[in-house]
Formats: sequence, structure tokens, C-alpha cells
Amino acid sequence: MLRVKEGDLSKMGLLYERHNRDLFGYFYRLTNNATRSEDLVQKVFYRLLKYRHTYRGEGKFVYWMYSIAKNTWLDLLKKKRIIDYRDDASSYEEFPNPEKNAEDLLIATERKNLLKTALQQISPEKREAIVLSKFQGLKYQEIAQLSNCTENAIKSRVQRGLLELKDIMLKLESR
Amino acid sequence: MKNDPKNSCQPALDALLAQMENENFQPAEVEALCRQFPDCSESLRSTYAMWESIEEIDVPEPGQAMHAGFYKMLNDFQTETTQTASPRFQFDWWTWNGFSLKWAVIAGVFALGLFSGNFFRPETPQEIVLTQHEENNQEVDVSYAKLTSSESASDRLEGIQMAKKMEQLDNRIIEALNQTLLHDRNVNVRLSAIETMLHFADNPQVRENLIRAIPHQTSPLVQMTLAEVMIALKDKRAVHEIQELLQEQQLELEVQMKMEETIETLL
Repeated sequence: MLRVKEGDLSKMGLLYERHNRDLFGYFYRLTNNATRSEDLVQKVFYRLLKYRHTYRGEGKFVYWMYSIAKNTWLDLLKKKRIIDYRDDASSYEEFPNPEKNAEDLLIATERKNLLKTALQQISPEKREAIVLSKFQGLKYQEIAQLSNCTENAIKSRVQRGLLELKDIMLKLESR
Repeated sequence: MKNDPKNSCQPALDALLAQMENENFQPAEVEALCRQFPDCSESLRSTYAMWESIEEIDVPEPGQAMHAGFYKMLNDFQTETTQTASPRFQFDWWTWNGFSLKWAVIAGVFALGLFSGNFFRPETPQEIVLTQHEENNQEVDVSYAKLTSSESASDRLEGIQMAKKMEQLDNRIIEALNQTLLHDRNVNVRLSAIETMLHFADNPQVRENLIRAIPHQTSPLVQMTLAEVMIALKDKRAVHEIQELLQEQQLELEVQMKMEETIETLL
């Protein structure tokens, strides 16, 4: 990133190759919408380029990247007030695992769908804390800095988020 | 006053959360916590189970459109930056009074000496390798961007020619050439992709991509060219793909004869 900051913009291609999938996963888990996630990834890289002069090279690059990603997502939430995204994963190819029989596959797919629905029903703050901690490998302290709150607040969001997920799953499964 | 079970289990849950943060966290550690806090074992197990089960949410692969969009954006950004770049500081010798000109000349000569000494110093082998490596990376980036995100056919042709000049192809370029051969709307671009892929046909992936592309082609010119390429490569795997093309498409008579002739040659 320091090379990009110094003017070698082509190096952004390397950063993109390294991080685009992680970033896409981050947005996909937050939005449950692949097309929207692709747009958001692109917006983040645009902002990384635009605000490259603000990069100070302190700490991990991914921390800076996720701080921009978080703001990009918040901007979208503010703008569109989108909390409940429709899953458009059907437009993406999914290859069935031939080792699983049809019934297992059906149950597994149904559970995945319920989990996706449940994750979208908890508050954006809790969802983000869980996603950043579980999938993006950030420490609570780092998430706290990104979110401008205390480490304990993040731990509480993760814990309460998991509790809510559990309750929502129970309700969804009993329907 | 009765203890609220949720509050009484808070220390146990705090301990669990602290452990969940670690990458090497093992389920056995949950059981250890359950032994330590037996009254909270249900809370601990169910919280951990929820934490684990969200892994089941699978994430699709981002589409090619995202990659193409990024490289187009990068390309546009670079072009824009180059066009708008102007010297940040313009020096006006005539109005400059803050420093003695004599000292400035001395400092300048000294700096020039340092610079030229460094400039004419022969590069060490490590520096040469590093510079070449960086140049190659840059070439790959530019070629990839031209291949995947340019609207102009001549740009895409240029990207293909750049790829041809590379000593070896990296996976991104191999896939970009493959996508070009499969989907580019311009026949000349597809033909050029074939030419470059033939150049690197000793690479097993490139060779396989050439073979697999056969049934997907609809242009007689591209079909005939691929048939010639298969004869040159003498790869019998192409027979199956050519047969598929013969079965699935209504080919022009000349192309059909060429394909049958190719099968005979390969067998």
C-alpha cells in the first residue's frame, strides 16, 4: 500500500488480488446479496485509491482496509436503509456434492438458508462484530477501534448476537 | 435474592469469548470450560455451537464482472491521475531571495555528484532480479487489465501481444486468455488469443483450454484455426471435443470436412 501511496498505482492490482475474496465474503455475510457485495468491493478499492494519501502505514493494511469497508457499508445503510437484503445467490453456480444424498442436501440447504435469514435479522452492529471476528480474523480490540467503542462493547455485541441468532433459529426451525 | 443464571454465567461466557478470539481455538477447550463452570455448560455449549454453525453459510465466488470492473476502474484512475498530475511546486528563480545563490550552486553540485555516483554504480545481481521481477509484475497487471476490462478491441489485442512477449504466463493471464477465446465478441481478438495460447502450448493448462474451447466456437474462421492448431499439437484429446462440435452445431460444409479430416489425422 505504501507503494500505491507513493504513486505506483498498478500495485493496487496486487492488493486487489490478495484481498478481494475476503472483502467480498465480508460484504456478502453482511448483506446476503452477491451483486451488492461486488459493488461494495469495488467502492472500497476506489476509496483506497482516492484516499491513499491518508494511509500512514501503521498497523496491518487489512485493518485500514476494513475501516474503509465498514464506512462504505454504513454509507449504504444510511443511504438505502437496507437491512433486509434479498439473497440473489441463485444467480451464482452451486455444484451439488454427489456424496450427499438428496435428503441430506435438502436439510443442509434449508439450514443454511435459515442461518442466512437469522443473520440478517440481528442488528447490523452485532452482525458486523460477529463477521469481523469470526471470518475476517480481527481481534476484538481492532474491531473496537474500527467501531469507535470499547473492547467490552464488542464482546457484548458478539455474545448477544450469538444469543439472538440462537433464538431466531429456534423460532425459524419451529415454523 | 436469587441469582440470575444469565449473570452468573457471565464469567464463563467471557472466558469462552476470550478463547474464541484465538485462531487455534479447539472444541476441547469448551469442554474444559464446561468442567470449570459446570452450571453454565449448557450456555457455553450452545453459544459455541452457534459460533461454529455460522460457518455453514457459504459465500459464492465473486463474478468475473467484479474483477473486470476493478481493473477498468484502476485503469481509468491511472489515466486520470496521469492527465491531471502537475508539478506540485514551481520554482521561480527570479523572485527567490531566501537563500544565497552561491550556496545553492554548491549544494546542487554536491547533490549532482551524489546522484551521478549512485546512478553510474553497477547494479548488483539481486537488484537486477528485483527490478526485472517488478517490471514483469507490472506487465502482467497491464496486460490483464487490457484483456479483461477494455472496451476497445485494439486495446485487447495489445494486451494479448503483451502476454505473448512474457517469458511465462501467470494463472491470471492464462484465465484471461481463456475467457477471451471463449467469449470475446471480436473474431480477430479470438484469433490473436489462439496464436498467443499456441505460443505457450507447452503449458498444460493453456493446452487444455485450447482443446476445451473447440465446441464453444461459432465462427468458421476460429473453428478452422483451432483445427489447424490441434493438428500442430497432435493432441488426441481434441478428438472428443471436435466430435462434440460436429454433433452440436450445424457447421458449414468446408468446416465440417476440415473437422473430419482433423479427427482422422489425430487418430
